[in-house]
Amino acid sequence: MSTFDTIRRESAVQGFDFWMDYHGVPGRQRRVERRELRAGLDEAAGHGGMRQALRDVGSLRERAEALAEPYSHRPRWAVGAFAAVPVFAALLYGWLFSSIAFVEGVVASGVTGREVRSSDVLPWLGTEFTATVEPGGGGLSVGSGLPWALLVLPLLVFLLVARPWRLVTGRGSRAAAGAH
Amino acid sequence: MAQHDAQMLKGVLALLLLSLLATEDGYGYSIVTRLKAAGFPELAEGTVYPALTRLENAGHLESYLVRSGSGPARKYYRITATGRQELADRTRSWHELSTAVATITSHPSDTTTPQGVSA
Repeated sequence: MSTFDTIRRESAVQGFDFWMDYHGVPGRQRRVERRELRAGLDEAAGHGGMRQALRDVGSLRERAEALAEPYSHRPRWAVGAFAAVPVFAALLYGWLFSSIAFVEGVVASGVTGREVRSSDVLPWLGTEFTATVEPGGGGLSVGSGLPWALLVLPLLVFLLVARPWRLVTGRGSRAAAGAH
Repeated sequence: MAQHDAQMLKGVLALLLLSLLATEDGYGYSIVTRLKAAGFPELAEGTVYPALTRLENAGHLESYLVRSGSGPARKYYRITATGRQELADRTRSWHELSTAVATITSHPSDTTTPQGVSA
């Protein structure tokens, strides 16, 4: 098999794995399905080439959705992480930008010899920045409280999207379904 | 070979898969090959694999891995007891439907429009 065909095949397999993960298929089954897709593509490529094999394999998202049907009550950890990471990145950017703007403001104001706190001028989700410019501009010390918002908000988003309570409610509804 | 209507095929795909697997276990690509050889060249993996998965989810099929000397282990499907019952039900429905359709289509000249109706 050519290098390009291997790249095409692995690209399809990784895409398939993404959709399985997205829809909540557990890791052990994903490993079996990845292997099956790879073997199926190799066998089909032996008859009509890898391009044709990839065309015939159809929508891998639809295949992943079918595989995920028994797991509709599992928490979606990967989807939760996908939602939480951008929130964390945006908050981190905002926090860094705020701290730099605060320090620049303190330096520009010309206040020296005393500690300036941000809570008066720049309240930022409960985090307080402090800056002290030494008399004569000889030194600058900067501090910050622990930015809890940076951790709490992404964690909240992660939990709301991943819905871990499905571990409990899903078990209950499965038991009820099994009783009927 | 004439192409089959996609919607009709979709309706009988489960019956075809259960019938094939009632005679012999198989893995995804081998089942596609058998379907194509039986006169369904338009059935590709993209249609067959999700259908196999849905039959497995419904309990009509079960899968097991078979190690291969020349490559990775393959996922084989076999029919279950409920699958055999489902196959019997679907086969009966199919025969009833095809008989009813044949009753109508075997006398196409009888289906004439009413005469003597004026606007």
